[in-house]
Order: sequence, then C-alpha cells, then structure tokens
Amino acid sequence: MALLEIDDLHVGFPAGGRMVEVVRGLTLRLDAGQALGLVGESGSGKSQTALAVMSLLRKPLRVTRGSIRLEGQELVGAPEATLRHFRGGAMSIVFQDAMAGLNPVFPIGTQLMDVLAAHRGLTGRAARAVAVEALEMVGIREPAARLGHYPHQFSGGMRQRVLIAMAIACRPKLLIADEPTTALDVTVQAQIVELLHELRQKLGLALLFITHNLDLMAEICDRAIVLYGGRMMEEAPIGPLFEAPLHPYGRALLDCVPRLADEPGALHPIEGAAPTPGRLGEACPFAPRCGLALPRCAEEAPPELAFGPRRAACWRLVP
Amino acid sequence: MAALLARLFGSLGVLVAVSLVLFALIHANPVSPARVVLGNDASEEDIAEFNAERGLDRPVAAQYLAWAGAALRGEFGRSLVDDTAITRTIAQTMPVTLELVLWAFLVALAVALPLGIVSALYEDRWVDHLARALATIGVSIPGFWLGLMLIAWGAVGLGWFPAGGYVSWEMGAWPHLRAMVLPALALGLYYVAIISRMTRSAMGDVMLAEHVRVSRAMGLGRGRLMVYTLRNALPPVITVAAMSFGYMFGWALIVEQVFTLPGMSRALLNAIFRRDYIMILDIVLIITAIFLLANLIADALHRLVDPRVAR
Ligand SMILES: Nc1ncnc2c1ncn2[C@@H]1O[C@H](COP(=O)(O)OP(=O)(O)O)[C@@H](O)[C@H]1O
Ligand SMILES: [Mg+2]
Repeated sequence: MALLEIDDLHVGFPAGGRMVEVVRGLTLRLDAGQALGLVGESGSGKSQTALAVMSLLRKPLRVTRGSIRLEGQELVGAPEATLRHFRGGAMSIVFQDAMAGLNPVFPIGTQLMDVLAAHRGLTGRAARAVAVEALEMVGIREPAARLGHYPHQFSGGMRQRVLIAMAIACRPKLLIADEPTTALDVTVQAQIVELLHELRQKLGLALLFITHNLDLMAEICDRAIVLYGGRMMEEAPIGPLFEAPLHPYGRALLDCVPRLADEPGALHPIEGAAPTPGRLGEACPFAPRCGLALPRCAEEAPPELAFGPRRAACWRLVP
Repeated sequence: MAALLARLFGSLGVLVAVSLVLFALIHANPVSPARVVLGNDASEEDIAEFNAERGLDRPVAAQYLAWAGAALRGEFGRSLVDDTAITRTIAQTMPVTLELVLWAFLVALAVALPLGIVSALYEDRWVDHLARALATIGVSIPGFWLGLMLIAWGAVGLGWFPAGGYVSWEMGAWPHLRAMVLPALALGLYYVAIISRMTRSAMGDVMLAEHVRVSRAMGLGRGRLMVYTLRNALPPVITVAAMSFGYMFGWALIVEQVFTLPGMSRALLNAIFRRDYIMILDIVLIITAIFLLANLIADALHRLVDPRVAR
C-alpha cells in the first residue's frame, strides 16, 4: 500500500446547472519517503489537487468523484475532526505565498507551539524545546531568540523557512509543497529547494512537489506527473522524462526550458493559450495546441497507457 | 511609547485649537449676554457695568488667557447669567451623562461583538440575515423615536421600567439601574448596528486571509482558529468602537431629553438659550476632551493588538 493513493480524482464547481471540472480523473501513488513532482502550466489544476488532498478546497470547489487515501484511510468525506488530526499531523503543506502565510499579530514561537499543542499535546518548556529544534532544522539562526519575533521581522525566505518548520514540526509522513519558491528571490529559491531535499532525507518525508519549473523539480524529485487541463498527460521517472518524453505536451514543456546550448534569444513557447475549465469537452485538452493531433484527439479522451514505470495518455501512443 | 506621547500632545493641541475657535466664534456673535440677561430696555451704563463686573470689557485675548489659566486649575469659571460656579454644574450633570453613555457602550459591545462574530462564521445563514435585518433597523430608526417606542413597550406596556426620570444610587442599586435600562438601549441600538457590521466584515476579511488557511492546514482546533482570526479583525473594530463612544455623547443629549435625565443636556440647552457662553464653551470642550481620550485609548489598544503598529 502506497502512502498516498489518489484514484480517479475529480474536483469541480457547479456553474450554470452543470459541473465545471478543474481536476479530471487524476490517479497517482506516492510511496513513503519518495518525491513526486506535479508539473504543468498555471491553471492546470496542481493547487486544487493539493488542496483536495488537504481537504482545504475553497467554497464552490469540491471533490465531485474519486478517492484520496493516506495510509489507507479515506480522506474524501471524512469528518472534520479526523481531517484536523491529519492536517499538520501525518500530512502537511507549504504554500506559495510565504509573505502572507504567517499570522501577523502573533510571535512565530506561539504559532509553532500551537501546532505542537494541537498534535503532540506539548506545552510550556517541552513545546519550546521542540519549536527551537524545528527552527534549527530549517536553518534559522539563534532560534531561541527568534521565537518571540513577529513575522514582519523576517524576510520572505525566512518566513518560508518558519512555515516549513511549522509543517514538519509534527513529523508528517507526507509534505506537500505547492510552488514553495515561486514568490521568492531566485537566490533564495535554490536554498529552499535544497532545504526541502535535506529534510526529506533526514526525516524520511514523502514529498509532493508542485511547480511549473522543471529544473527545480528535477533537482528534488524522483518521478513526475505532467498535468494539463486537469488531466494527467504523462508520468515518468525524472531521467527518462527529460531524455524522451512520451507525450507531445511533455515534449513541448521541455522545449520551453531554455538550455545553455541554445543560441541566445531562442525561446520555444507553446503556441496557443492554456485551456479554460468548463470549455473542455471529452477531448484531449492539449489537442487544440498539439502539432501531432489526430482527428480522434479532438473527439475522445485518450486512455491511460502503462509502459513499465511510465504512464501516458495520448492517441499517438495507442498501437 | 514615544509615539503615544506624541499623540497625547497632539490631542492637547487639538483641545487648545478648539477652545480658541470657540472663543473666537462666541465673540463674533452680535447678541451679548448682557442683552439677554438685562433685557432690551437696559441702558448703556447698565450693560457696561455688567460687562465690567464679569471682565467682558477686556480684550478678547486677555479674556481667553484668564479663562484658560483657570481651566488648567480645574476652575471652569462662573456662569455669566446667574453667577453659579460652572465646575459645580458640571460635577452635578456630567456623571449622569457619563453613566448613560457607559451603559449604552457596554450594551452595544456586549451585543455587537458576538453578533458580528456569529454572523461572519455563519455567513448567509439565518443568524447572518437576522443580524443584517437588525442592523438595518438599528441605523434607520432615529434615537428619539426609538426612545419613545421603548417607553411605550417597556414602561407603559410591560411596566418593567420607569418611563423616565433619574433615580439616584442612594435609592438603591436596582431602582437606579432599572431607570437606566431603556435610555441605554435607546442610545446603544444604533451602535450595535454599526459595531456588529464592522465586526462581521473585518472577521469575514480575515477568514479569507492566507494565514488563516495555513492555520487550518496545520490542524489547529476551532478555539485557536477563532483567537487567531479575531485578533486580526480587532483593529477596525476598535477604531469604530472609539468613534462610537465619542459620538454617543452627542446623541446622549437627545436621549436625556426623551427620558428626562438630569444630565449635561439640560445644562447645555439652558446655556444655549441664555447665551451663557462660558458654560457652552466648557461643556463642548469637555465632550471634545472625552472624544480625544477615547481615540487615545483606541490608539493604545491598537498597539497592544498589532505588533506592526508598535514600532
Ligand atoms: N475558487 C475557484 N472557483 C472557480 N475556479 C477556480 C477557483 N480556483 C481555481 N479555479 C480554477 O481551477 C483551475 C485550476 O487551478 P489551480 O489548481 O489553482 O491551477 P495551478 O495548476 O496553477 O495551481 C484554474 O483554471 C482556475 O481558474
Ligand atoms: Mg497553483
């Protein structure tokens, strides 16, 4: 049994008498201690997948179909008390907006220790000690002195470290990182990715790393799922994915990343615009922008095909 | 701390400015107190004598300095009309007004805060709709009319409360408080509406904030989440509450008339009818000072609640 099992996940919201789906039939497995990347252009449904796992989808959005299991325990439709127990406990998340992620009117020590109190029943001196340890682990210097400081006394990168400390304080088995570096300076980005890598090894975390930056993902993940229009396009170990993507969209995505070998100024953006949810019929969502599209691609969703450790959904691959 | 001291000095400056403007306005008024007191038939000599007795013949600047010097010592001067000590009049009437406002303020907070919080938590549910209806009614009913309605309901109809009049503490705590219930409600309802709406919208904003999502993602319990949200929502509520406290002194004058309470309204109205300028000046300045004090307290509370303001 994998640590995280998602089967046929659909996330949508009602509009004009029908369901507009932003995640459509996603299936994935993540084993303990592994790092899985979730890549795709903005709007492809990565964040809503993460929020669905945490059961934190915001109002009109909800899971309309499918199953999400953590250590075999079903999370879809689980009672709030159970979910509260899992959130920040066995599974945790780090979001993109580190600047706004901490409560501005409480010292970071209070915020850290409240998480410890909620899940490990720690209070007073014991909580303090663990909080200091957690801050140390994410590379904050003089952690004991920093406990009493307020978020506005930290830089963006430091706030993200504090948020990571909160997320790992109760030793989760799964850590979701939803574009944790996108809002940060480029120099800080690498440090945060490095930190996540380190923590994963030290604590044996499974990592669901969400990004639209393929290079960052390659640094930290073992495997990646390419998402487009709420659908899985392709899943593969990092090496094979970068060497030879199976799906035309995977190919296009790789071509977007500027290589050192390229002549200056050579960019290869994907032609056309990302799809709008709701406008997607049953077709392959990438068909309108795909140079290799067959007539069939615009009519019928391709089946998911397995190729050893890899999966892909494309009519071109159907024998 | 330094910032708070600066605010304090700023407030004192405002008080001085207000007193100067009031003084200037009073002396620009063509109807002199002597005419009001002595009547239209008084001779020029009588008027001159009246003015000389009260120092009204001196230059305006000298009068102002004399008044300000006395006021600093807590001496608010004597009535131009009947020569009573104004300090005494204020000492008799001010506690009644202050008590009325304090009760109304407490009622407003005690109802508005829970109401605002609950309607934010249960947005668009029946509690929220009820609160909104109450708020709409609260802001649209004029205070004096509400006072009359309350008298008809609580005094005439149910007979639980007196229809008006003041009962001093010496007559017993319960009779005293009972006489304050309807006036406090009449004065407070408008501010229940104002403060509960502000609480609801501030809570609603904070509930959508990223840090609240993080707190939920960390599995914090309901109680902690509530504390985390509420403390962030407080600053605008404190501001509105402080403003309300100040404005209440204005509306209290009307409520006192409806319920025939012997507060400052009577002293002020008398002073206005009789052109008792110094008395008007003193009362208006005291109300201004209370308004400024409420804002200073709000400022201090802001600093207590939000560490970002403290620097
Ligand atoms: N509250 C919402 N209501 C309706 N649609 C939403 C809402 N939030 C996000 N979406 C839509 O869901 C789709 C997927 O969003 P998201 O998962 O955030 O993408 P990303 O891959 O960039 O993280 C987007 O097209 C977005 O417009
Ligand atoms: Mg996103």
